This record gives sequence, C-alpha cells and structure tokens, in this order.
Amino acid sequence: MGRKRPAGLPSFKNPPLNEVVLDVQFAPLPNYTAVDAGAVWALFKEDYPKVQEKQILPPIFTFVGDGEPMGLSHAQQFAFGGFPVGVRLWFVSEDGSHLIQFQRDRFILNWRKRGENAYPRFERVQKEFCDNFRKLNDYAQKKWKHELAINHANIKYLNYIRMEKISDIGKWLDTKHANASEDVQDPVAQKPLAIFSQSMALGRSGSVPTVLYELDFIGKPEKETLESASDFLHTGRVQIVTRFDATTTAHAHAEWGKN
Amino acid sequence: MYVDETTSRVFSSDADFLAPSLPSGAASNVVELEASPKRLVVPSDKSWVEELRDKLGELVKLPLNWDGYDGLPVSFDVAYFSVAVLNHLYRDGIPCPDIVPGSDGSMQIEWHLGGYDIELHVLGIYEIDAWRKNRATGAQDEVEISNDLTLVAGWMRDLLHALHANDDKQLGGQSGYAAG
Repeated sequence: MGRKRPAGLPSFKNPPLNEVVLDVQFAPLPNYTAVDAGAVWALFKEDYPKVQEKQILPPIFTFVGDGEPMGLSHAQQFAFGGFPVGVRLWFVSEDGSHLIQFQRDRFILNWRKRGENAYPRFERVQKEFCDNFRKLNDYAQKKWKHELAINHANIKYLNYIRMEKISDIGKWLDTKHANASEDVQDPVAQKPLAIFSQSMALGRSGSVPTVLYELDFIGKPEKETLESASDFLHTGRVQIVTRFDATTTAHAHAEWGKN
Repeated sequence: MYVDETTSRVFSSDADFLAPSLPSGAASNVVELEASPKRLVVPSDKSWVEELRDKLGELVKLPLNWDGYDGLPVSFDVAYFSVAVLNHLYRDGIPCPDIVPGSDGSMQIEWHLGGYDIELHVLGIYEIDAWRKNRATGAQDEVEISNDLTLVAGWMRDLLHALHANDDKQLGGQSGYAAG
C-alpha cells in the first residue's frame, strides 16, 4: 500500500486541485448506534479535533458492462420506507485541510485546498486514508468482532481552473468531451473494472471565472479488503492523472509547472 | 431527500456554479458545456422503481415472522441494491417485474412473460443468483452475478424482442397481414 508514484505519470508543481476524495463503502456495522459516535471520534480526535454532523449518504452501487448508464443516479435519488436513520460525522483537522467522513457504512477521507496549502500528493493522502481506516477496522473488530467488508470505492479529483475570462477556456482545456462516462477495462483480467467519468462546469470562484473540472473513478474493488480497495484507488489515481494531462493544454501545463 | 455529496466543496451551494452565467456578448466564442449528468434530476416517473416504490416500502417494513417461519423483512441494503439493479436493467417496453420477499431478508425480482421466466434472487449487496428459462425450448441459464449485469441486460433485450414479436403477431392477426 505504501507504493511509490508510478514512473512516467505526469506531475504538476502547482496543480489546480481544490479537493481529493478517497471514499469506501462497506457492509453496515451491524450494531453501531449514535451512542458509539464518541468512541469512533476518539480514534481520530488527535488529528481531527473538530466535529460536524451532516446528512447521511445513501448507499451507492455501480455496475459495469451493458445497461442503463444513469442507474446510479436513479438509485441515489430514491427513498422509501421512511426517513433514513443516522447521521454522517465530519471529523476536521485543525487547519481544515483534511476531513474524515464516517457513517455506519462509509469511510471517506478528503484533502482540501485551504489558502495556499500545497497538495501533499496522492501517496501521502492515501497513507492517511489507510492508516485511519485501519484504526476504524481495529475498533470494529474489538468492539463488535466485525471486519469491515468493503463493497465499493471511489476516488475523485476536483480542479478549480481559474481564468481571466470564460472565453479563454480553450487555452486551458480540451472541451470536446467535457462530460463523459465510460467503463475502464482491467488489462489483466480483461473485464470491466470501474466507471470513469469526467465533468466540466462553468462558473465563478469568488469573482473569478472558473471551470470546475471533476474526474471520478468509481466501482467495486475485486476483494473486500483494504488492500484491494487501495489497489483500486491507486489504479483510479493513474487513470485520473493521465486523463487530466491529456485533456489540458500545453499552456495550462506550463502554468501549472508540469515536470 | 438524500444528498450525494462526498466532497466538501462550496460548489454544491455556490449559486454561480449551479447557474453559470456566461459573460454577456461573449457567447459566440464561449464553449458551452453540457450540464454534468450528476446534477441532473432524472425523471423516473416511468421506471419500474417508481411503480414498485410502495411495495418496496412494505417489504422493508414486514414484521418479524411475517411468513410464520421466522421470516425477516427485506433488508434495506438488499432493497437499495435492488433499486440500483432495476434502474440499470430498465428498458422501456418491458412491464414492471414482481418482487417477492425471501425469508432471510433477501428479495426476488421476477418476470414471467414473453415466453421467458426470469428470476433475480438478490441475496445481498453485489450478490445475485440469476436464472432464466426459455419456455419454448426448455433451455435454462443460471449464473451468480456481482457487479457486471451484462448477461442479464442481454436477457432483457431478448425479452423485449420477444414482446415486440408478440405485438407484431397480434397486429398481423388483427389486420390480416403481418406487420413490418
């Protein structure tokens, strides 16, 4: 899991990254209740001293292969059987740059741009994710004799690409396939592995014209273990960086300090 | 209403982003981007899931021992996963399936029409036993499925073709000549 950056993968000194999300879903903790929330926070409290409550996230499932491509969104917007029980907790680092999100079937780690803080790079974010997931898994084993069985994973990069005026977009981005979604094949197993999607949206960040460019790699890791999820996230990172490089211009690369 | 937001960005509450306004007079040289599919509200009034909403609600609220054999209600996980399966497989023109609870909290999704019997037994998240019988030939297929629904999507296509063929036959019978 502590692997190095793959040789040849494009790298940027000052990427326009605003947020990176590493997200896993697992089979719900069978006996978790709100009473346990304090004990879970205690696992992370030293580095994540602030707490917020958020609305619970619905379960997420994706399918590869043939079918209705919007199935995921349908499921997410669907509710039945009464109001969902439970909350999602945010544990936030002192400087706000790191965030752990936890609910009975979800563990998410976010790195966020705050002021001028530099992106610590995927390897460090992934280590932070794995170290903290292990804390939770150890706790679940001790408390409930329950191993967290991961059934879904997602890695997401959000870029804020600021420009003088929106009509300059062509200087920064190839917008031919602004919004696209496709299956990614596992080169070894020769079968669909995940869904890769990208989306671009125009807007403003403060008063500055900005394109929000989101790249997303989502699916079911081969096995239910952290190691398997970690491999999945690593593969997703390579896909995302490669696509980002291919869909941004030489001008942008020069601005962001491509190596 | 659920949210699908694992990010903490201001994006979701940033009115500028949600309703992007292009600079006036610049429209001719601005590349207009399609809205991101993730932010579209998908109309689902025709889907199987909408038709099954009440029934799904009933199945997850079944009382313990509902069948007299210590039966459990359908679990929320199974129900949510089934919703995703149904939406992925949805084809306009195929009638809504029946859903049947299992004693162990599982759920069965069934079609019995068009010369086929198709049953998807949803045992848990990414755990489906899928079975199909072609009544005319007696041929049966059975497979365990995780996250690749390609095979069952093919069954849906076969079923749709069979239903269309039946429609054509009936039309032909009514008008005195075969359609198309």
